[in-house]
Parts: sequence; C-alpha cells; structure tokens
Amino acid sequence: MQTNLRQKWKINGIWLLFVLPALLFYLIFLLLPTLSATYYSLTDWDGVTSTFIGLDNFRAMFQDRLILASFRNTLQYTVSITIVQNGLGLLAALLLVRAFRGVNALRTMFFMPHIFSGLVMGYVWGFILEPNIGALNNVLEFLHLDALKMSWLGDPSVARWMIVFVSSWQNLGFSMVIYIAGLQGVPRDLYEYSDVEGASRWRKFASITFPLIAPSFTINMILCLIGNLKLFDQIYSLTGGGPGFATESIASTIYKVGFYNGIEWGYGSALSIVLFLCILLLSVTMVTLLRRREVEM
Amino acid sequence: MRSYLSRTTAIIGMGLLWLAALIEIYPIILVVFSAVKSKPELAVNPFGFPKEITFQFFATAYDTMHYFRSVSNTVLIACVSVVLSAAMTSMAAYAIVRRKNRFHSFLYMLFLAGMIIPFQMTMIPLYKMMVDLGLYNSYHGIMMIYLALTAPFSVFLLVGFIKSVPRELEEAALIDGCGIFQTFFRIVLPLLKPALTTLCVLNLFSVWNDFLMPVLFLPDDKKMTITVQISKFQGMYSNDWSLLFAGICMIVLPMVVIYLLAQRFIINGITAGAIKG
Repeated sequence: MQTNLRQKWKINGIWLLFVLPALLFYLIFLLLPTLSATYYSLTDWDGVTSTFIGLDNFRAMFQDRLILASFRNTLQYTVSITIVQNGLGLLAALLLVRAFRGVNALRTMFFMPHIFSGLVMGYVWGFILEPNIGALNNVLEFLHLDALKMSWLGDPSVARWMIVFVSSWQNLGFSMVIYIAGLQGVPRDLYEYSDVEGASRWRKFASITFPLIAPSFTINMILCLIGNLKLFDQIYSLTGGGPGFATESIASTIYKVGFYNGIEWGYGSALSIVLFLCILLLSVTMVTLLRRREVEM
Repeated sequence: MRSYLSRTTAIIGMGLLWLAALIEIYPIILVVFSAVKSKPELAVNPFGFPKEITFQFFATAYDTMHYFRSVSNTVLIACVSVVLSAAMTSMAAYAIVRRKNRFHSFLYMLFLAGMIIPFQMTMIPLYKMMVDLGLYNSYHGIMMIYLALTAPFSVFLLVGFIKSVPRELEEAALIDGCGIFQTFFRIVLPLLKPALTTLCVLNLFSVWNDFLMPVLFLPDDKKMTITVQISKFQGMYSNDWSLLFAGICMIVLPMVVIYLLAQRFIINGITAGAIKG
C-alpha cells in the first residue's frame, strides 16, 4: 500500500514535469501581468508613485473626448473590417475552391500579404496613398480622373476608411484559406440533388453551402473581431493616430498614454481592462450565438 | 448562344479574378520596383515599371539600418524562442491529452484563456517587471516573453493534433519498459513532426513580424530587431522613400522565400487550428 501510494505520486510528479516549463513562463509573463494590470487600473500610478484611487480612472475615461473617440474608431474598425474581410474572403474562397489552371497561383497571391508585418505594409500603403508623390493619385492622374484625387490620409474620415481598407486587404487571404477548408468539406452529392430539384445558384449557396461552412464562419468571425479590437500596427505606421487623434484606436491610445505622451500607467491599465472586457464579452457572445446556429443547422 | 454567353462571362470573371489578385500583391511589387528606381524616376513615375535599374539604395540601406546585425538579432531571438516553445508546449499538450483528469482540463482552459488576453493589457505591468528583474534590454528577457505569448495557441494546436495520434504505440512502449519521458521523446515526438513544423513556421512569422514587444523591451541599438530598425529608419529618413523601400525589400524577401517553401505547412496550420477549434 505504502509503495503503491509512493508509486502513484512519483507518476504524478513526472507528469507535472511535462506541464511545468510551459506553465511557468505562461503564468509569470502573461497571467501575472494581466492580474497586476487589474490592480494598477485602480491606482494613479505614473511609474514612480502610486495611490489607490478606486474607480476614478474609469470615471475619467468616460469624460475624456480622446478616449471616447478611440472607442468610436475601434468600433468602426472592428465592424467594417470584419464585414469587408469576411465578405471578400468568402467570395474569393467560393471562386478559388474549384480546381482550374492557375488556381494555386491565385490562392498564393491572395494569401501573400498576410505573411508580412502590419507595420511594414502600413509604410508601403503610406507611400501609395501619399497625396503628392504617391502612386494612387498618380494613377488617377494617368487615367484622367483628377477629380478623384485627394489627401487620402489627411482627412479624418477618409483616413479611417483607409485603415479599414489596408487591414482588410492584408488579412482577406487568411479568411479565404479558412473558408476554402470549410468548402472542401461540403459533400458533392448535395449539389447534385439540388441540381435535380432545379435550385438556383443563390438558393444553393443559401441553403447548402453557407449552413455547412458554419464552423469556418464562426472561427473567422471570432478571430477577426478579436484581432481588430486590438488593431495597432497599421495605425501606428499608416497614420500614427493622426491627423490629430482622429484615427486612434483603443490599443494605440494605450500605447500613447503609457509610453509616448507620458507615463500614465494607471490610466493606461484602466483602458486596457476596458479593451479586455470588450474582447471577453464579444467572444463569449459570438461563440454562444454562432455555435447555437451551428447546432440548429 | 447560351453557352457562348456563359463562356464570355467566365472569361470576364477570370480576368477580374486575376486583376483582384494583382491588387493583392501590387504593393509588394511596388516595393521592389521603387527600390531599384532612381530618385528622379520615382518622383515622376511612382507606380509603373522601372526604366533603369540601380542598386545603390540597397547598399546604403544595408549600412544605415545595420542589416546584418539586426537580421542576426531577429533570427537568434526567433529561432531560440520558437524551438523552445515547441518543445515545452508539446510536452504540456501531451500531458493534457493523456492525463484526462480535472487538474489537466483546468490547465487546458487556463492556457486557452490566454488567447483572448490582448497584449496591450500585459504591456504596462510587464514593462515594470522586466526592468525590476533586470531582463529589460536583454535577449533572454524577450525570449521568455515570446515563450509565454506563443503558449496558448501552441497548446491549442498541439492538443488537437495529439488527440488524433493512436495510443497503441505508446502502450506497447510502456509495456516494453520505456519510461514516460522515453516514450514521449522516442515515440510521440517523431509522430508530431508535421504539427511541430507547422507550429514553428507560424510562430517564426509572428516573432519575425512583431513590432510592439521588441520596441518596448529591446530598444538597445545593438540588440534591435529588424522591424524596430525599419521603424527607426522611417522616422529618420521619412522622405527618403527609395532608401525605405530598399530596406523593406530586404526584410520582406526572406519572408517570401520561406513562405513559398513552407506554404503547405502554413495553410495546414491555419486550417487545422480553425476547424478543430
């Protein structure tokens, strides 16, 4: 009995050694800072001194025009990028799921931008959209469409749409790859039945394809929403948050508040809690809603 | 008549598809074109083919952005953290799959929770912690952060994969008197090769492309990674597009080569993670 028990603990110990290395780094460098951020959000920590001020940071946030604007922008980015990226990604997947000459080259081209850093691609688009020497205005001039020329990143509302465009451009291929995998799992014979019934193309998409790729849709929506709520790189390199603060997102504001404009670490932490809560709420709602839809289908 | 019409639409559709694909990669072509154009040519012809080719900007960019040094830094950090992360997370995932008790399913949930924590939330406390622990501005410091950040997705991907590995082989090995460690390293690890390759390639890309971590925790000129270097470079020569493009070219091309070689693994990884989830 004694040896049995000892044996059992020895085995438990060995198994613990398997988890321990990964777990330790994960706990120390990811979970611990997350928990400390929760505490710091209740203080006015400026890097040196810190006093407990309760929920004052959160109160201040909702009277801070810049922060409210960054909430608004983040909402616009998240919703528009998710719609554009998934719409176009699904369209590309539907067109590229069949085998024809050149299909692999096309898939590679669509996916390619996703492998580069958002920062570097932001700089490249910054050049394309530059008003004086940039490529886009130059192309428009070449096509005699001078009337369409504009300062693409100088006007706040146009600049926000440019961020939506660049981000969707970069990650469209990623959604496409997931949709293609989903489409490849749809059984062929279902389409044959519907052909016999004389179903239209749209009808086939709405009643067969779309319900059956529900898992790909769910995962794409969730990854897209989480990713875009944290949108940072493209903003940093494309507009730097400007003109003024017009294109700032929550994530870029946290960076500015914490490391750029000063050291308001308590305030920045409070802001990061709000970002986390948004992500948490959104992913839980999306998972429950979309999974329920999957089951019903 | 009808088949004639549908053939025309098919051809037009195909044309549009190739046009869309061209727009997708145009910015990357533009980088290469702009890097080899002379400055006066870039000013009058920013979007078309280069008429004359010059490589002078590559030489200048190579020196001003300390290309060799920053690439070596990036490769060192990326390789060490990616390999260590793969080793640690595959062990953890193995334990999670094979020990089906409450403790291990709790651990799994704990790891998964990390996938929705935004990095911006850990950034400020992490900064203080790195300074306090003396890990600020050090290679091993940033590697440790990457080990933590890559853990959730890696565990998720590997758990999904290990579940599909048949158990019989391991049981045979255990009966033959192999210990748990031996069984894992001799039998299980070789079976995980495809999943591990995928994981390493995906993590390699994310570490190589990462900007926020190295800009915050590794600002030392001598230890700087390639993305931080290019942002610094952009700040210093903000109107020298030729130089910037030559620099971007040298960052992007190695990625294109790795991507074309490892495309299968990347696509597999994304779809496996997505569909099993």
